Amino acid sequence: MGHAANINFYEAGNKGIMSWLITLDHKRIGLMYFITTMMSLCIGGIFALLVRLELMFPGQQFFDPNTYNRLFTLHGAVMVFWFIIPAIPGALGNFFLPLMIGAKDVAFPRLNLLSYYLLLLGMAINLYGILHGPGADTGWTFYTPYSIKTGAAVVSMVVGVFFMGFASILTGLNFIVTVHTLRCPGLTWFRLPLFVWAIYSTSILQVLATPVIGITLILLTLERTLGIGFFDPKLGGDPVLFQHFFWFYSHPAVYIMILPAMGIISEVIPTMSQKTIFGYRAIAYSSLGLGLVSFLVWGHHMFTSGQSELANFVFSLLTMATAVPSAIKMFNWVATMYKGSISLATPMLYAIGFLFTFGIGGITGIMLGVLSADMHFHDTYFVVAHFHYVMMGGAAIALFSGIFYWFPKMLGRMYNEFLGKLSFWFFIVGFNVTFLAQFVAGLNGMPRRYHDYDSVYAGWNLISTVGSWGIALGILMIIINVVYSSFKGPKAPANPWKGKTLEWAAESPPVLENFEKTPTVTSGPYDYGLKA
Amino acid sequence: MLSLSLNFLPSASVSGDKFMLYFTTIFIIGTILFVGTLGVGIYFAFKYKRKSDNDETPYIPHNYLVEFLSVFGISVWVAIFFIWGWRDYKDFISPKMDEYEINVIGQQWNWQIQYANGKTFTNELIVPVDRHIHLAMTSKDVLHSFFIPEFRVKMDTIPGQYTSLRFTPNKVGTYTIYCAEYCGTSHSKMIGKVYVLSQKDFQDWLDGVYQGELAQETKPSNQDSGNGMTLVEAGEHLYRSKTCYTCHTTNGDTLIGPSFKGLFGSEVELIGGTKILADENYIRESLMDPMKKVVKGFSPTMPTYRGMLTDTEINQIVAFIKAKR
Ligand code: HEC
Ligand SMILES: [Cu+2]
Ligand SMILES: [Cu+2]
Repeated sequence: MGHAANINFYEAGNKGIMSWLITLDHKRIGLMYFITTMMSLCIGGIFALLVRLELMFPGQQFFDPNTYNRLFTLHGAVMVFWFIIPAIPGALGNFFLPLMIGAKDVAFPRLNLLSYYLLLLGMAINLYGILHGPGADTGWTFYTPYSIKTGAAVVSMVVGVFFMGFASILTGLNFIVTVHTLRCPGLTWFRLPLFVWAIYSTSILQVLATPVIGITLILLTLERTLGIGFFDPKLGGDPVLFQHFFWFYSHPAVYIMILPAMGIISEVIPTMSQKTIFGYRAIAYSSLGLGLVSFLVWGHHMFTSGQSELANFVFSLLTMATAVPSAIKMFNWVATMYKGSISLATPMLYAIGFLFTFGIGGITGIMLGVLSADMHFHDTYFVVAHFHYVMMGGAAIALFSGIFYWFPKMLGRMYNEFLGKLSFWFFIVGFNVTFLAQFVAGLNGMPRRYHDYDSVYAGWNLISTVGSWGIALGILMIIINVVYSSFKGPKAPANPWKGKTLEWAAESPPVLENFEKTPTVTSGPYDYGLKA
Repeated sequence: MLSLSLNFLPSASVSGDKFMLYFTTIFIIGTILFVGTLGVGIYFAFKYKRKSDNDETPYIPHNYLVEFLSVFGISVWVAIFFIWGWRDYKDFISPKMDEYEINVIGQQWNWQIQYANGKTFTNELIVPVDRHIHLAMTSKDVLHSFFIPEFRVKMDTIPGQYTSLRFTPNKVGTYTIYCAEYCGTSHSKMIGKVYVLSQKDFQDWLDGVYQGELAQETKPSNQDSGNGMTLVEAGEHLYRSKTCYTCHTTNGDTLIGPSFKGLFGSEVELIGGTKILADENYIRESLMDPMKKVVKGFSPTMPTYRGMLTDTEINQIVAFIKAKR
């Protein structure tokens, strides 16, 4: 091998499947996360399509209520725990965080590999319950006392999520240490790319919040297997306590999903506009701020759970306060485009799509944070539509933007621009048709998790189902594009977008330890344009 | 024909009307804000579309005035809507004078609706128009949520405790009850109806002489026998048969435990000095978990009735204690 340093990481070192499965290289681990989470997206997506198919018309179409209840539970659990939470930090974070800070790898490469296998272990335990057991029918929220009483395979679901939670904690820990210790010379905190800031904030949330869900799920398991009585009122427990514990994690988890997405957008927009980012510090601080406040708003999922008036007051106030940092970011991204040299290549289209859908998600979020309005909206399709606008229209769209943006760097080849743009239009139109229709159904009172519904909602449900096919086609095109271009795409230059962050200083694809010579940083990450 | 109207759900209560006003306002302002921000973004995308690979761009890292104004604007906007929402909510949950009380028990998968006269209906709630209604609700098994879309209100029902739902219907008519909290197989079939009658019709209905359409739906087969007793009478019966009377009087005298006279709605001082309002939940807890909150000046000798009283019986005891206030 000799001069491994000059050969890209695919060809350097050992070859064969084992060299991947036991690799300690952050890039290879990142790619394994990438493949795994994209497969999760497909599995979760199939469940979603089946749910929409059942809801295409009122009455029972294809599945009886019990099957339907399992389908929507699996859709939610797979999308949240298998896809969105691990996708951006696991795939893009792993690949690019060390590159962007000029490091050779993450701080603890072995731990990194362990995280990946914990994720796989968790998935395997879930799969066991799905394939060999009765499946789970609790919704991804596992609310007690239903989850204690149901005959479905709650334990395998919950234990699987517990292991995936550990994967998430260890990844977060690894990244925090990496950012603190492995920045290259000259890379001060305020020269960090915003993606690094976002992953850093996310990691803090992962480390602090995830243990809570771990413990909660263990309590639930003990309750189911030994009848201990934490949550079951028959045994003197409190069912609402479970909701407090659950959302104490699961609200910050929303930010575990959305902060890295915001980080991607903060990379794509300046580079594709060849403009320096507007309000760097405001964006960096608002990531941290959102992360912290996200610990204090969990009760907004429980406005109708009988919690006290004072609790509702505080949770509603803090929830609405999060609109401020979110709006700051929106304004900053738009302002960055001002007088830029804007390329409308696929990553940028997805980034603009993000501004659109995340904007709708944010504004409907404020509507839901309002106490009086939530008395009506809670547990209706309005909520379903809202969080899809934030999760899919926020996290997933940003992921797609990031995939196309960094594709040349990861694979060393260019993706197909035409197919990329086409996928965007299918996705964005399908997405808005699907979920705008659900806003209308929810506004008019259609409750969520319904196997059947009143015929007054029939029109909007039909539209929503047809829209879901557009999303499916869009995602299919992304996958075809990625797979095809990985092998057949034209060779990519090292810096196709003229980016200024460090990953663009590396080869495409990068060499084994990223840089032939450790880089030194002398300026900010987005020094585009003429300084006056 | 499929309906594609945007807003087809009528409003039939005071909170429904408030919701409509609120939502319309926030929707219009939200749309302006959204279209404004996004419109500018899309305008930029076209206006500053890349012309050549060597386009020159200015270096604008920030603009404190613009940043300050946008933060300020958003904060004011959010604050106004928060206060508005809080006030409507406060009005919605606060107990009102002269409420008409009805008990609701959710169970997989129907609603038991229990009137003061002891009659119980399944999935049918009959209420007078223009009166404040208070539903004291609980659940027999898992969580449910009592949701009347036309009134724009809902509240979860929770096993082992009471929750309250308040509303004031303002239009005579027939409306829907949904279960909004997922509760298993037939969650989407846990549907009921609300009949809002004029005050006179409602009185007739209570007296059993109402001749309108309802008479069919709430025909006697749908009614609980209840031994012909009202809730209070049934509660009094339990007070004797469950031997509460050996420790509690209803005339103000103290035996082993405090008297029920004037108890409901009063402030009770507990051992340790904390004060607590004696409401439905407090009474329920006193029965299920008597050691948890012990009244000052008494020893913790009250036995637990956990597992010995049904939700219906607890409702009856609560009604009885309420009647002694
Ligand atoms: C063996 C005596 C005894 C019996 C029987 C008994 N209680 Fe009690 N109860 C007490 C005592 C002593 C207290 C005060 C100490 C405490 O709060 O636990 C009390 C407290 C209460 C309270 C709270 C009163 C307050 O002033 O705050 C309620 C309500 C109550 N009991 C209801 C009942 C009902 C209903 C029954 C019958 C089903 C019943 N009790 C049977 C002894 C008894
Ligand atoms: Cu939340
Ligand atoms: Cu239900």
